[in-house]
Amino acid sequence: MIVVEKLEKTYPDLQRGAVCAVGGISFVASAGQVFGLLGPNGAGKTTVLRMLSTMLKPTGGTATVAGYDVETQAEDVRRQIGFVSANTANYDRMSAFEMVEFFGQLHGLSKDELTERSEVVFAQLQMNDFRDTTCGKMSTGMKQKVSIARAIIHDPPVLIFDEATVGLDVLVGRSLQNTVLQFKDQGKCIIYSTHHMHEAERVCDHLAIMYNGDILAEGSQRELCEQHGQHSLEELFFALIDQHDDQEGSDGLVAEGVIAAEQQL
Amino acid sequence: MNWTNVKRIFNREMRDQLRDRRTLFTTLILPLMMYPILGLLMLQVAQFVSETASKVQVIGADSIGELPELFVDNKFSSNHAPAEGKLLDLEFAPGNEQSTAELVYEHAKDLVDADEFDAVVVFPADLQAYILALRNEVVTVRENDISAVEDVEQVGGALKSDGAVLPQGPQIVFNSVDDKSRIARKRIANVLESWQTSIKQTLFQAGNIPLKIADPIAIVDRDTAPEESRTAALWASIIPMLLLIWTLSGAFYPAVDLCAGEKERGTLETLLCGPAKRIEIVAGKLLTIMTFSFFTSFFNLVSIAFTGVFMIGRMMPEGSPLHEQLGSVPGWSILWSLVVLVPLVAMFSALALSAATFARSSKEGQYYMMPLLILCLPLMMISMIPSVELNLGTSLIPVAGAALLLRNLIESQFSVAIRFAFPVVASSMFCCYLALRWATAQFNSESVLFRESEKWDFKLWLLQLLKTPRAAPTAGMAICFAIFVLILRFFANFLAPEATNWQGFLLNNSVALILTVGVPAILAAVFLTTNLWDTFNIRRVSFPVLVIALLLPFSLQPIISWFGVVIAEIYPISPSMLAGLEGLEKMFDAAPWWWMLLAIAAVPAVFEELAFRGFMLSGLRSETKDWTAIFITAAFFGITHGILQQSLNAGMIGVLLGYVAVRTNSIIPTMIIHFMHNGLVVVLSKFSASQEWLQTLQVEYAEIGTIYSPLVTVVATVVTLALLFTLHRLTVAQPSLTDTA
Repeated sequence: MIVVEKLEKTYPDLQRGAVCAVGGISFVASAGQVFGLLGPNGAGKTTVLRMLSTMLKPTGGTATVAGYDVETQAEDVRRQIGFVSANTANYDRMSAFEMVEFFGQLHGLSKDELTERSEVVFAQLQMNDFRDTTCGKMSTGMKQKVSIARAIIHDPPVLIFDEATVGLDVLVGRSLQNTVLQFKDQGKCIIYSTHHMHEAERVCDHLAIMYNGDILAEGSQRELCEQHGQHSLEELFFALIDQHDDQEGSDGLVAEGVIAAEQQL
Repeated sequence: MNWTNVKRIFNREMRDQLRDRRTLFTTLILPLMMYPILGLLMLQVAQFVSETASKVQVIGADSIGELPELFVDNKFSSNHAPAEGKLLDLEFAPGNEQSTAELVYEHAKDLVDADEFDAVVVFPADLQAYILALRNEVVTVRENDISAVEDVEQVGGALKSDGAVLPQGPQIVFNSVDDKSRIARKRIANVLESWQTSIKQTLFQAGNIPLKIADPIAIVDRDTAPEESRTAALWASIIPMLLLIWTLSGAFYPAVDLCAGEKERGTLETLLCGPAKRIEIVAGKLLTIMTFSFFTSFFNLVSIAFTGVFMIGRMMPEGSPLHEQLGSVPGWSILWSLVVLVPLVAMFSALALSAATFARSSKEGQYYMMPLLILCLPLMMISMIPSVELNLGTSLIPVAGAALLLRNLIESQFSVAIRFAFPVVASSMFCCYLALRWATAQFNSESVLFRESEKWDFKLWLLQLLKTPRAAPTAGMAICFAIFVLILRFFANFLAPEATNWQGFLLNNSVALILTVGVPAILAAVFLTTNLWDTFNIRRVSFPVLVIALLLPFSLQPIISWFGVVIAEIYPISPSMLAGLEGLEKMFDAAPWWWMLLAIAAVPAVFEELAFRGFMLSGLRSETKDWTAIFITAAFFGITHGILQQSLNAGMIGVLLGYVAVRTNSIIPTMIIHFMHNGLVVVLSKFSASQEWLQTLQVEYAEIGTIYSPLVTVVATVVTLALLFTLHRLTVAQPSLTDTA
């Protein structure tokens, strides 16, 4: 469903010169799978997901989503995905229904299709109680539900969640994870980015651990732990970072990197 | 582009904005409320000022008892300006014959400064004696039968010869900075003028001379302007500026909310990951901004009309100056202004959209409003300058042309408006197109859309710039460099000593050019880039290209001279500038040709090419399309030439030089063309008069002088096109370097 090959993103920065955000990563995610991107802040997860959702153009490599190339068939790609992130907010002056209706219309749903899909989505996400409430007056959990409803109104085969639980309380976060698992059961291909270990352990059945724009390891949680002789995802994560920094030969930066990663995780 | 998506985005944005109280307040409520409130305040102030009596002290009134009656019951006589007289509360003080005029003035000044009185009128003690002496003299003249007195001055002259001195007064002591005092002065002056007419009358009667001799001719005004144009004159100068300011403001507030605001709130990313194309999003947002901008102007117009007709027109007394100037709002002609506004609405909306997209937050977006307004304000205010008229030259100036067209429409001068409507709309549409291109580019730029609002660290940025220089400059460096050069050139114009001979002029010019254009380019290249050859675009070129570069200036001469004629027709050279140019020409007569060739051809060819087709063009090409880079470089190249006519000419040549530089990937051919072109101007100015064969190619054109004949120009155009076509076939433009070192 998603095929990424040697995907790269470098951008010029006035203060830092040329910055390599993603350094030639490759992975494949299939239908009915939750593919987790696990890594600290600044690892390049959001950049990868923005490239997959065609908001950013890759500077190297290729990526296809549901068979469409992200660079040359951007519009087709956007019709196949639903994108939910901590950065994608709702319009404060629109109600939940207006929000979902607007995106449904943009996706070309007819009036009947829209009515039918809205009923399904609002029921599935238990949103009928605040259907006509404006987003500005909603709680964080309600807003996140509206975001998900907006992303799935056209029933896309691919869903992308970029740190979607940031800022949510435990209950709402748990509810979101359950929703993601429901989507997985519906056969959708899901990319789920997070920097919470326990979340990745619960939701993802395939993981790619990202650090400094590279994928350090990829596989199921059990495979990865066995392969690297670690007992938990957390231990595995720090072991991989240590190993990476040792290989880079930046002794002084190892401690800094780990401390920074610890602070961010 | 899917117009259904554009409509959906437009509908959503409109609904969103209509629910935003701040936007509604700025675009609808504020314009509708502002003018009536301002009108009410104005009326209150006007009524207060006009109806409040002025407090006046009169000194020395007792000394004018024998003159025509001025005071009745401690007030000014109702015979003299009855309206003003009622509004002057008088307090009398006796004059002191022993006191000097200066002491009396000091006393009156103290009274006015202490705000005890709004004004003080001082009648000099000798005024009555003077007038009576004057009357006696007139009587004497009459009795001596000197009937040929034609000039009253002669009588005065006779008196003066007898030792009588014209008294200093009556004096009105007032404070011109104080409004109340100024109004009091005006009222007193009106009364005294009426009194003076009475005195004049008694003198003329005494001399048996008809009063009409004092005013032997009557100047009669016959205004050809239609009634509605006359009453609309003040509105016509104010409304264009107000409308344009509100068009920009009406565009800016929704733009900031729809772009910077959405970026800040995170909803822009939500929209970007949706199925709509970027161009559809831009179009939807632009249409929303245009709608708000247009209706803001419309509501302003409605509010102005309401204020004018109902408040000032009906509440102010008829015949009052305010009623005459503002009481009659121009009729249906004002609605035409809404049609003219459409391209301007589009232009301002696109500009606002670009600026607001570039901003990282609403707050940053608001900061961009003021510079944009300040840049446009001088152009908007042009309608308030009475001497500036709508003609071909002014109609082509963006914003200013539209302001003048609006003025003409409101004044019902339709014949002039129709004649220049097309250039105004064309110029506005062209600017709108450029602004729209910029807005679309902003929306396609990842660095703009996903700019993080991290704090900009100047030290870190500078270190990065100097420590890790690039092979060639960036577009940002190129623009900063061009602005820096403009600032330097501006100050150099004021700092350079005035030349009195040709040596001084040529030296000043060359030194200024090297210091303000050449040296900054070289320093920027050395410190900011690693490869000087690539930065300055210095590469070897083939022999045929060199031959073309040598031939092009010859074929360009007639075309450029005709272009100069067109420019002079549109923007005539002012008489003062012509006089200056003549002086310069005379100065150059004494200069040796090789000196002029060095200063006017060689120095600009080397240093201007290094700076513009070298550093600047390389930088711009690294991040923009070739033609965009060529036009921006040519625009800055033109502006550095200072004088408008010269700038337009230089701008056109700049486009050609830029094209040659891009095609040949080198500034060597452009240096040759630049040198040859300037050199030809020098050589022809020196030797053309003595060359008869050259004069056969030329014709006289009005006051501009000799230019090439149309036949020669047509042949030259064909040759130029052939040379450029050959150059195009011989060369391949190479992409500019963008890699870091």
